[in-house]
Order: sequence, then C-alpha cells, then structure tokens
Amino acid sequence: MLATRSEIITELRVMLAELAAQLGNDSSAIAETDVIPDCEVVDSAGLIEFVIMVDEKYQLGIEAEDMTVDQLGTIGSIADFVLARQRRDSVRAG
Amino acid sequence: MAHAVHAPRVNNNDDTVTVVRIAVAVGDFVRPGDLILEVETEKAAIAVEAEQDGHVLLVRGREGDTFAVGDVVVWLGDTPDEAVPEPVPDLSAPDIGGRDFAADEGVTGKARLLLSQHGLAAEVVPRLGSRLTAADVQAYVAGLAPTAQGGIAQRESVQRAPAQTEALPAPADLAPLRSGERAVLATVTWQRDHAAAAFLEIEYDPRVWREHGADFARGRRLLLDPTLALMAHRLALLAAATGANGTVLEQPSPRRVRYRQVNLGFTVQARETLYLCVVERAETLDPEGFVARLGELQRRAMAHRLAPAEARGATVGFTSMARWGVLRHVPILPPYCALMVAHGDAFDGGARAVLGVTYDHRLLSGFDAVRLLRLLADPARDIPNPRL
Amino acid sequence: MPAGSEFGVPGIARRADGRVLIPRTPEALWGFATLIRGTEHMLLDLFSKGRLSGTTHTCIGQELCQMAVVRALDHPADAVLSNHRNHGHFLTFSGEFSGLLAEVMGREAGVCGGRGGSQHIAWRNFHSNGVQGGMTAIGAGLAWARMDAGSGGIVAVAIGDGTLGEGLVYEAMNLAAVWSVPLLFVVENNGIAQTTATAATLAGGIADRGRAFGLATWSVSDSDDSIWDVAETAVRHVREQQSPGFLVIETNRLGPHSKGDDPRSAAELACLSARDPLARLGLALTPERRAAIGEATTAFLDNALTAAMASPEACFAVPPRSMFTAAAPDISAPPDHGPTVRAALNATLDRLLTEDDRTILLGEDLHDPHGGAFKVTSGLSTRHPGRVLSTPISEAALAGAAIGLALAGRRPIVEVMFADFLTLCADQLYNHAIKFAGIFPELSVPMVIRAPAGGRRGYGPTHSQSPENLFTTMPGLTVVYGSHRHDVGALLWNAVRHWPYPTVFLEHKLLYGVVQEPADYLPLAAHDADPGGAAFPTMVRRSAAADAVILTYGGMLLTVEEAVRILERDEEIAVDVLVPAQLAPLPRHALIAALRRYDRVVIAEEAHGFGGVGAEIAALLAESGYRGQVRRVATPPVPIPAARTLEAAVLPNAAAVVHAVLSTI
Repeated sequence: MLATRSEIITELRVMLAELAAQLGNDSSAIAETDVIPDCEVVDSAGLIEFVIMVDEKYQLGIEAEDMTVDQLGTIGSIADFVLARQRRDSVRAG
Repeated sequence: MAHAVHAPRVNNNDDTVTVVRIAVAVGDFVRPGDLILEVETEKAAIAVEAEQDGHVLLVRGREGDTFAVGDVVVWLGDTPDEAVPEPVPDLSAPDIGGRDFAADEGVTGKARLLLSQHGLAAEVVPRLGSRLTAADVQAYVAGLAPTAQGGIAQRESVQRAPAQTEALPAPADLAPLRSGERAVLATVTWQRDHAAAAFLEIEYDPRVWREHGADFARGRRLLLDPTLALMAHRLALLAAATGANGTVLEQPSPRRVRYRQVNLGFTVQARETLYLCVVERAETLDPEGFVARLGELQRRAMAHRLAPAEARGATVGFTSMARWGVLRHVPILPPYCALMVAHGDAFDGGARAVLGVTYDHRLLSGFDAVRLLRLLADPARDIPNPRL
Repeated sequence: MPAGSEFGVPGIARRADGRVLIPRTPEALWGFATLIRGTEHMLLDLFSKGRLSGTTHTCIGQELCQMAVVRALDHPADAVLSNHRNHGHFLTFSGEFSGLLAEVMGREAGVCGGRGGSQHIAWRNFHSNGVQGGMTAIGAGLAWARMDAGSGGIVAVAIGDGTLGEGLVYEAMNLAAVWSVPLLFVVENNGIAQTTATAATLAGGIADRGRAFGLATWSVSDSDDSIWDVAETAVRHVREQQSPGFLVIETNRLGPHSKGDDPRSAAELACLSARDPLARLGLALTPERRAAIGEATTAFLDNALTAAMASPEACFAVPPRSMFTAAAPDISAPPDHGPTVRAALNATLDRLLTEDDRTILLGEDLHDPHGGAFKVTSGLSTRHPGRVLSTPISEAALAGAAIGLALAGRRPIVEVMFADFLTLCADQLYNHAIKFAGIFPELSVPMVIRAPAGGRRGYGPTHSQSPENLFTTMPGLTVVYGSHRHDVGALLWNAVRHWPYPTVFLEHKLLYGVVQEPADYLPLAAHDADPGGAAFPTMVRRSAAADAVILTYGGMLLTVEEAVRILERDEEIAVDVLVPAQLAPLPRHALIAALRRYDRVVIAEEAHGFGGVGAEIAALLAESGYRGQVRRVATPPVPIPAARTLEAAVLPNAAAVVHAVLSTI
C-alpha cells in the first residue's frame, strides 16, 4: 500500500528527530520548506545518516546525482521524491 | 507386503489430480475391480480400482485434496495390521536431503556471513541450539544487548576464557579482536615497524576553503557540504604532482616506490566503526566526480555496506576530526602511505584552523611536507606541474 | 518523345504503380534484355577494375528467362521474390538501372542505400535474399495473405536448379499446395550450380518435382519463342485458379557464377554463346535497328552509371548500435482470464483473434478438439474459423510463411510444438526475419513464435531443452520468457500488439497448469534506455536488508523459490529475487542498476550456461565496475536424460541454487 504525502512527512520528522536528539538538538520546529543543512540540527554525518535511513525505509536507490538541495534538501522535497519513486515502482495492470 | 495405490495420470498435461471420492476406509477389504478412488482434473475424471486383494491400511487424505501424479493415495496390505512403509522419496522434487552442497552443518549461512564480517571463528561464539545462528553471533558481538538500529556495536564483549600466561599487571578478561580492531592493529603496527613517521602542522585561514566549498555546493545545489571532499581531492592532485604518492621498501633492498595512481583514503566514522573509504585513481577524477564518488562511499560506509575492496588500497590519506571540535590531532599512516593529512576544527571565531600531516620521513622531508600543506591550504594556487 | 525513351528502348513505358511495362514487340524485348546484359557487363567490368567490392552474380545469357515471368506480372499486388542472381528480375520489375548500379557500388543513391548490395534488395513488392531457397516459404506466406485478402495479386519466387538441393523448397511447395495459394515457383535451370554441373547433384527430373506436389507444371526453354506465352499462361493460371504453379525454364548461364568461378571449357562456352537466346531474339530485327537501339541503350546505361558514380559512397550519419529503435511501447490492458498460465495464454489469443483481424495462428495440431499439444489453443479454431491454421510438420516453412504473412501486414503467431524444434526455424529467423528490418528499415516483421520449453517431465533429450541462449544471441531477435509471477497473457498481448519485431516467446511446460500470481513481487521500474522494458516487465521480490539476490527467469523460478525458502528457513539468509521476462534485448540498464545494490549475485537458469543469459549479465556486471560476487547456476553441457532420476541429477535443483548462494559467503 502506498503511503500518502502526509504519512511520509510524519515518518520523516520522526527519523530526523531521532538523529537530532543524538546531538542534543530539537528538530520539531523545522518547517517543510526549511533547508535542513541550514537548520543545523544535524551535522554533515547526521545528514548522511538521515538520507540512508530514508533510502532504506522507502527502497529508493538514491544515487549521487540525487544528493541535491532541490531533491532532498527539505522535508517537503524528500516526501515528493519518495512519492515520485513509489509511483514509478507501483504495481501496474500488466 | 504392502502395496500402494497411486494418483494416476489422467492426461498428459495435468501433473496433479483432485480426489473427488474415496470409496474405502481403513480396515476395508477390497477385491480386484472394487472402486477405491475417483479422481478428476479440469478435463476428465477416472475411477481407480483395486488390482488385487488387499486390506486398506492407510488413506492419505480426504475428498477434495489434490495429489501430484504418482503420489501414494492409499496403502493396501496383505494383512490388516501390516506396517505402512516409510514414505517413498518423491523423485520429482529436487534432492536436497543429501546436502551435497558445501553448507556448514553446524553454522547457518547468515551466521557464517556475520562471523566473516567480524573476523570471528565459530568456536568462540556460544550457541543456543545445535546450529550456530545469526542471533547467536549478534548476541555475542553486542554483548547480549543489540543496538536499536540492529547494527553491531563496537562494545567489549565477554569471553571468559582462561587467562594467558602473559606478564599482565592485573587479572583480566581476554577477547579476540574483531575485524575492525584487527585492521587498526595492522595499521598502527605498520607505522611502528616500518615507517619513519614524523609530524608537522601549519595554521591557515579556513574561510577561503569554506567559501570555495560553499560556491561549489551552491552552483550544483548540493545537499552536503563538499568542502572536505574538495580538500581531499586537491590533496590527491598535489600528491600526484609532487612525488609524495609513494613509499619506500627496505627489503630485500632499499627501493623507492612511486605509485602510478593516487588512491585517496578518507576516514568515515559510522557510529562506532571507523572506515577508511578509498577513492581509486582520485587524480583522474574532476572535482564533481570525486565529490560524487566519495559521497557514495561515505553513504555506503555509514550504512555499513562498504565493500572490502572499497576500504583498502589507499596511497595517501585524509582525516578530519572537526566534527567533534578537535583542533589538532596526530594521525597514523595507513600502511604503505607516505602522507596522512589531519584536518581540524576552526577556532578564533572561525578565522584560524590547523592542518597537520603525518609523513614518512624515509620518503619526504619536512620541507616537502610543509610545502604540500601550504599548497593544500589555498585552493586558489596552481597545482605545480608533475616532476618527471 | 517516343514512348520508351526513358530507357532508350521503343515501346517501354511505366505503369501507374511504377512497374515497367514491356510489350511483346521484338524491339522492346530485345532492347530491354540488351539493357540487362549491358548492366551486367558493366558490373563485371567495374569489378575487374577494382571499382566494386564484395560479390555479384550476373545473369548473362539468362536475360530472357529472368524477364519472362516478371514482365507478365501485371497486377499491382503481384510480388517477386528472387535470389542471389536477381538483376534481371529486379530490373524488369523496377526499371531502376541507376539505382541497382549504385547499390552494387555501395552508394547513397543505391535502391537500398548500400546496405543490401547485389543480392539483398527490397523495393516495393520485390524482395531478394542471398540464402538459397530461403524466400520460398516466405512466398507462401505472402501468397496466403493475398488470397485471404482477395487482392488478386500473386507471388512469383525464382530459384535455380541448384536450389533444388535445399529442403525448404520442398516444404514450401508442399505448404503452398496444401494451402492452395497463388505462388508460382520459377525454376531457372541453367544446368550448373556455381561450379558443379546439375547432373551431378540432382536426382530425378525437375518438372517431376512440381507434379509430385500436384502443382500445375510447365516447362519451356528460353530459346523458344513460346517462352513469353508460357510465362503469361502460368501467371494467369495461378492468378485465376488461386493455386500454386511450377514453371521450369531451361536456360544457360554465359558468365561465371559470380566472378571468375566458371569451370566450363572455352569450347563449351563458345557452344553456349552460339545458342544465346538474346542473339536469337535480335535476329528478328534488322541490323540497323539493332545498332540504333544498341546505341540508345548504351547511352542510357552510360548515363545511369554516371549518375550512380556521382552519388557519394554510402555512410551512416550515426553508425547503428542496436536493431531496436521503437520507443517505449504503448501498453493496453491485458484481457481478463482464468488463473493458470495456460488460461491466460488462451484468453489472450482469443482476444487477439477477436479484436485484431490481422491476427492469425499457425502450427501443428492447433485445431479443435486437440487444441495444440499443450492445449493452449483449445477452442480457438472453433470460435475463429479460418484464422487458426494447422500446418504440415514443416517448422522452417512455418517460420518462413510467418515472415511472409508479417511482411504482408498480418500478425502471425506460430506455435512450434517443442522449443527444441526451434532450431529447424533457425535459418529463417537468423538470415531472414531479423535481417530484413535491419537491412531495409522500411520493413518490419512483427511475428511471434511460441514454443513450450524446459524439462523436469522426463521427456528426454530432444523434448526438454531450454534453447533460449541460441536465440538471445541473434541480433534483432526478441526473446520473451515469462514466469508464474508475470501476467504471461499480458506479455503475449504486448509481444503481438505492441512490439513490431520478430519474437520468440517461450513458455515453460511446467507452468501451464500453474496459477500465475505476483504475490509479493512488484514490477521493477523500467529504464528508458532499455527497449521494450515496460512491455515485458522484470518482476522483483524484495526483503528488508537482503544478503543476496538471485536472478532467474521462466520455469526456473519455481526451483529458485524453493531454494529461497530453504535459505530463509535453514540458513537465515534473506534473498531478493529478480525475474526478467525479456531476455533479448536484455533490459540491461534496469537489471544492472538493480543488481549492483547487492554484494552477492546468483544467476540461475535451466539452460546450458556457456555463453548464456547468465554469462551476459555477469559480463555486464563486470563492465559496470561491480565488485561483489557473482555465481551462475545452469545445466551442465550434457544431454538431458529421459529417466526421471537421471534428469533430476542433471538439471539444476534447489540444492544447487542454495549451494551457489552459500558459496558466496
């Protein structure tokens, strides 16, 4: 069953909060359109971990060329990325 | 003796039949021509009759069940209390009983995989059942407390082995080294036993690099800060150009080694495991290519999915502890490397930072080392032409 | 300007459809034949001067023979199929002198842009190829299509006496007679096959062969005035009776087979020259007329040669790297059907026959009540009379006829009873079906050959094989092989409706009765660079954090799924399963991208492994820089024995797959 956008957003927030907490930070105030690296709730390594978690959860197969601010820089754009991949991979009639 | 009544082949194309009627029960006596079963397929139905006298010993199923053609459906015996024979091996199924493959009877495949990943021998891991399982290995490695991520924590575990007869100053528990620990041991002992390691550091203004990295990222809309990757790439180019990409062999006779390519080793700390990711032929990549490749390796390392080939073969190294606010540190040379640059965090309001380098004095002089650091510290300066 | 001044020959005109019209006047006949001879001499001359490369086969001495039938084909739907010695046929059909010269010279202005050369020409309804006899069954298919459409057109296929050594010719004659189609076999008997006299290689009489198959048979010599009459009679008969004919023309080749290969003595050649039918025909004209027409034709040919030489040498704007240029196919919804693979195939065929009247089924024993050896066509001949053809046991002719039908715009679906027998179709596929679209881009051969494949039923060495890798290596041939996790009906639907290339469609015998059900498999996202990807999807079953991936296809998936269960249950190893349906062209971009994510790749196939699909994938992985481990599981290169116990020891079983996975650890 495919997740809805808001379900994905919620899950992303949970994952991000977990990582932020490990550094003693709080990510709950981050808006969907805030650029995550600029918010300084996770460091570079944390950001990589976040991408990995998202990749494994949604089986996205992220490649180097996907690692841009436009594709994965905000919670909103990550959710859209997941949705686009899910649509592409979803069961067809034949 | 007992004889079997088999599910018959009704037609060439159906390998299974459905039993629609069982006309006998255990204990019945049948004569030739008596109806035993009726079976059908999509296309036809036939009756199965007894071919000889017999007592029904066993009926292996119910009406409505499907049987493969050739399966035994009913056992008949000469006497009513004969034993039913052992199941006839199903020749149509692949023969796996003999275990003719090189599986380890005592250890599951996943357990073997984990043992190999952590450099453990099966004998040291306690097992719950008769076969060593993945859970056994993970429990052993995690010290009976698996991490939240299901990964393997670099915790001391407990193996209450008898103490060795060594001159230790206090009673102690011993444990075999895990693969990561063994790699570290091999690295530091190479430097101890072979290199002539020396160290120096310079101060520089890190803001130039910070801006250089920010420009690069902005133009390409990169998610992650590429500054350290770009610095490592520049190091690779400098190593290739200045003859620092090599080592010295002393046995059987002293020789200078000059590598034909730069394999740039970059340290990544993934939770509690330290990896040295290696970008091969780093000097042939353009900055974008290097940043992308190193990014890929970093992601794999942080997911603990780095292939063994991607974690060895470094010819020069780069390590940063800026993440943890470390200002300066003295790194260890990876085996057969002549250079390992250490990058530290900025201080004094971000205007100053330190670049250090451990270098092999058998190959490089202090002057070589400082010249390289100065070139590294300023991304705007030209890379000198390679000396031939 | 007098009529015929296009060629310098009086009386010759063009029909509305571009065909040449040669009246039966001595001037027109002699003049045109002289043009043909002139062209042939020109070509031999250019070769001897090193101005041409490759090979050519001239018809010097046989001009009248080659003109006779072709000029009599007066219907726009008539077709001519020729062979390596085709210039006379082609020029009579098309009048494209400059175009032919340019083609043999490898120029852009060549009628086929230089791709076919002397022997391989496709131009409107004219088609020649270089394999002896190879066009005969194709002719049967083209003729069947004309008959079915009631178009009035016939097909003439020209062969030589030497061609009568090829078995396909007899299959085609038999088929044409059984089907009663308007196909005229024209045997040009010049008494020599390359450098071997016919007498040494041909048993029995030539005309007897036609009569043996019940074909209307004629014999005539090209030094006989009646040749034009006889040719017209044969053509008319075939057209009016809508039944096949067999015309034998005695003739003589005055030149070599191609260049320099002529073993006949000077005396023999002189004797033949003396009997030259062209010279004989010329005697009906005055020397002055001959000289005048000769001059005009020479001038014409000079101009033609000049024009040909003025054209630049053919070159590719972009050198071709693949035979497949169709964009991602449009895929319509597959039909509803019962749960098993057999039911899906049957329903798809039914719906194809219902909705697309170009569809036609051919094969052995397809008709009801039998409905095919594996019952896949059950009920179809009853519901669609005249569209399900049960044919003689002639796999090569079947494949050829399908090519003809496909060229004529039909959608033929051939059933070959066992995939093991596909080798009998191999030449028609390899040298014909996949060549035409590659050499002549305006042609397409949208045919499908279905065959049950695979073992594990104890059918023995020639009824149990998985020959897919013989066909995956044929460039331009598509091989589709579904599994029980695919919608096999949809695969067939797309192969027939949305994929215009010749396709071998394999079906594992064990799967016919199996319910097709994707369960936890999903389609892998297709890659734009993979031709056909979306039409023939790869199915993938993923687990969280798999330790390895097994790639397999077709019926082998049943065995692999068993191995996966064993690995999960007994070895705690999680394995993903990747199942492509399209083996050629392999969807390599999508597959390699998917496989590279794993550290361990096992490829399992029931076919022999050498040079197979697994080998290709392993090579692609290596080229992509993959650093993980690869293993292949396949049948060893020995025949598959019949006894069930022996077969089980040879074919790869679940244990072999398990072993392969564990060996990577």
